[in-house]
Amino acid sequence: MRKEETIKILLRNKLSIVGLSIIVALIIIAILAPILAPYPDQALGEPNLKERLQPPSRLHPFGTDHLGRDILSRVIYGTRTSLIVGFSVVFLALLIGVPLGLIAGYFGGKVDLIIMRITDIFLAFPPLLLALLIATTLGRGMINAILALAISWWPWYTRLARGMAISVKERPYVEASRAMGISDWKIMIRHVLPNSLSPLIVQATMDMGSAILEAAALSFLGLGVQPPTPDWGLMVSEGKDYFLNYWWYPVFPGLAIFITVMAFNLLGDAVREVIDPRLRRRLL
Amino acid sequence: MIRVEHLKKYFPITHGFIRKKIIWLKAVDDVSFGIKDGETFGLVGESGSGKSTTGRTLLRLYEPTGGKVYFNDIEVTALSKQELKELRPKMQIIYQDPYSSLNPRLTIFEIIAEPLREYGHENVKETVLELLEAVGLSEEHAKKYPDEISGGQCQRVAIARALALNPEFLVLDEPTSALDVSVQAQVLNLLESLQRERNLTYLFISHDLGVVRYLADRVGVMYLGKLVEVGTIEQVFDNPAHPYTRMLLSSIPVPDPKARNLKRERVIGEIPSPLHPPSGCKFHTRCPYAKEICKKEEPEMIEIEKGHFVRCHFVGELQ
Amino acid sequence: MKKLLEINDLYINFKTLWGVAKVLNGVSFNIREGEIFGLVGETGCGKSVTALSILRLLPPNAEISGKILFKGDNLLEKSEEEMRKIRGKKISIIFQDPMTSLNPLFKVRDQMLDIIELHEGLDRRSAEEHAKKLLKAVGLSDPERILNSYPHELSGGMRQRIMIAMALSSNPYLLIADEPTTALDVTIQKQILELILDLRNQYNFSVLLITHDLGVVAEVCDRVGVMYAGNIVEIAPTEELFENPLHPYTQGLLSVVPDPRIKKPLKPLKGSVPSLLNPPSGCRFHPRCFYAKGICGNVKPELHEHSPGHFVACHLYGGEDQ
Repeated sequence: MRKEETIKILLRNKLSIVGLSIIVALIIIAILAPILAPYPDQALGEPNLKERLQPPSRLHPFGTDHLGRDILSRVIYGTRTSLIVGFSVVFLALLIGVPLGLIAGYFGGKVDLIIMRITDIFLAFPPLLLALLIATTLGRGMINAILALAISWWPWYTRLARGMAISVKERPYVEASRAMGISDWKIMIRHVLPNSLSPLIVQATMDMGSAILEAAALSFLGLGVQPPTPDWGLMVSEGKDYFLNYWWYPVFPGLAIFITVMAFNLLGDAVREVIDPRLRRRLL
Repeated sequence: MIRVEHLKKYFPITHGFIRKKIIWLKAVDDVSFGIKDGETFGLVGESGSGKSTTGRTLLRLYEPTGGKVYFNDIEVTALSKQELKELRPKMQIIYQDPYSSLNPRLTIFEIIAEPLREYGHENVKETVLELLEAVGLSEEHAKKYPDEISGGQCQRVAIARALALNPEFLVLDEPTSALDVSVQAQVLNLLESLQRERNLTYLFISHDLGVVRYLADRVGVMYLGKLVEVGTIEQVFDNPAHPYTRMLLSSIPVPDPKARNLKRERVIGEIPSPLHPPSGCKFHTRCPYAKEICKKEEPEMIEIEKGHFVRCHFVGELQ
Repeated sequence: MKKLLEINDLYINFKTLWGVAKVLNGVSFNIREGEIFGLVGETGCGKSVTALSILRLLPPNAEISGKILFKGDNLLEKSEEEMRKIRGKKISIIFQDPMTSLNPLFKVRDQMLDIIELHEGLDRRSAEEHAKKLLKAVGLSDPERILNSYPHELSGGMRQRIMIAMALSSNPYLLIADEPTTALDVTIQKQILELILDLRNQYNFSVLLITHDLGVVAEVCDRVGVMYAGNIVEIAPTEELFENPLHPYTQGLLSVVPDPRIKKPLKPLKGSVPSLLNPPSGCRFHPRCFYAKGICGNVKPELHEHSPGHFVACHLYGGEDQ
């Protein structure tokens, strides 16, 4: 009954169907990249100087870049980088942020004060600056970009988790468990955590799109993924100088970013419909 | 079994923006009563009376601001955290809202199994099924989630969970107020039979005097944190001595149209905010018999007949 | 007494994710001028839906058929524009929770005067005079202070009185009160019920009082309709209903209401309220009924006048000619 219901709710909104389908398509594309890309070697960086900056054609539906590489193949492979980055950033941020938030919210008092002050400090730090710092100390590349973004992201989840923990800990079933002598840590894991997840899941889903966008910005500035790795942000950055005469170069990867981010936002809305009990219960 | 002596629970409320003042919300203000083995003690009152807070403070779910609570002569209020944990299985609580007293993410089985597992019970599965049966539910309910069963069934699950540790004492905080009247009757009957079978002692908190009449042997009436009258059901309900008890009893809509025309006590005024309670006798602002002394001095509890206590300056003089 | 409101054969279905909920299954009753009619039943019986349908306040996924005649006009055939002239003016409604009926961001003055100006077409000053008179009429002795307060500064009882004042500001013919005292303390509840009674005696409007509390019904209602799972199963004058309940459900209901004056055994009905997505056939009460016979599962009983003014929908009383 619940699974049937969930599926019905996911599908009742046309936009959420769109979002869902695009995400599913992206995942398939990422997995099957070597098969789907017409020029897998070019995608991974092998130059093809004979066909530099060709406009879209039957051979190269998205055109070629300044090294003659097929842009369609690179966009397809870029899906992998994007999805990995989006997922990793959010996952890491949740891993750090949620436990801190739950502890702060549940225990309150001094613990809460200390954790929230630390959170405030990190929140005030501009993500770009952080990324620059990490790039200078640890070097550039995809993993360091993920690290930088995750470090600037976790405070938001701490705030959310703390808010939820504060409200959930007042609920009668939590008090009932205390009345049975269950320890605070067990209560936090068994009762508070599962019931605090709803807004976190919705936020995390949407954040994957934002993370991809921010990672693209980092790549654009040269701080993230390095050439010749196929990455949408990087491609936009490399392509921007060619925009006037060879429009296809930055436009197609840019479109890919746009569609992906939007799909995640739509998915986030759909997930919210499923999870939020008030939206879920709407009669239509 | 239970002795409550001068129990106090005050909540600090910070007031003001720049120079923060603390006002004390005296939710429970010097409450004393006792509950005998196997009896049901009813605690009645309206909003702000402090009845729910009393129930929770008694179990040390809130730490008392003052006073002592004894369970079978053990001073509950003096126990360490570890000692308290060992005592917990004997005293349990049932809440008003059946749905929010169960974790929506756990199945009924897991909800009832939690206390059993915590205390190292063997044969968890068997015990859970036994408990389900004891409250009138069946094995097929065990797999469900709280939002898949009705309010009455949720309340039964809450009762089963409370019984899991073989308690001697149950605090029932408005357990049927959120239920339809026919479901309420089912749950009340269940509570009654469980009390007989397992020799349980109940503290039954409610604003519904009809329900209290049904289950309770003795009753205490609370108003703004104080007990104003205590006695057996017959004493308090048939011969109410405190003006508030009388006002309360005459306000209840009685399911009998003929009772409409009987002359009854006038109901005056609003319940004052517990943050700014009246001086002297807290009821004086609404009392039809209030005199000067009522504004100045708080009355003491006086025993007017055996076991029947009233807190009023004019005890026995009112008719 | 003339009929003010006549509801005939009201059927209401809701399209939901899980199927069609058949919420009202042919509801018929009428309310006379100046009478307080109680509609009593448990959760899910359809009493609130009935009230909302009178003012056409149901959500768009509701399918309605039947007639709702108000002073002879069928409300179901009126346009939205026409309904707006009726809501708040000719028929008013007050709800259970006065906190959510009043906007917490605005003072009482703004909310009350806006409505009075809208309905009565008065200017600000006259509207204020009118408001003060209304607040006094509902027992609030300091109208100026009330007007200047925000809703959260006032108690539940006061807010409900304000709602009543607003509901009565344009002298409606019918006041619908949906569980008006359920959220209030018992001593305050008594005052509000007495207020409604007094105002009715003074101004002679009709009241449709919706409640689950039989005590409330006994206190204030002239006539009562008992609802179960989308049907009216019994209608009678209040005293008659309590003294001589005919329908097995009414009897069951009366036997489980605890009486503070005396401890009596509570004999609850077996089973529980059916799902409206898949209600029982024939008489919706038959699976729980001690007296059910073959016909009960097949034919829905209609309301039939058993004795003058006392209607019951039950095959025990030979409703249909078989």
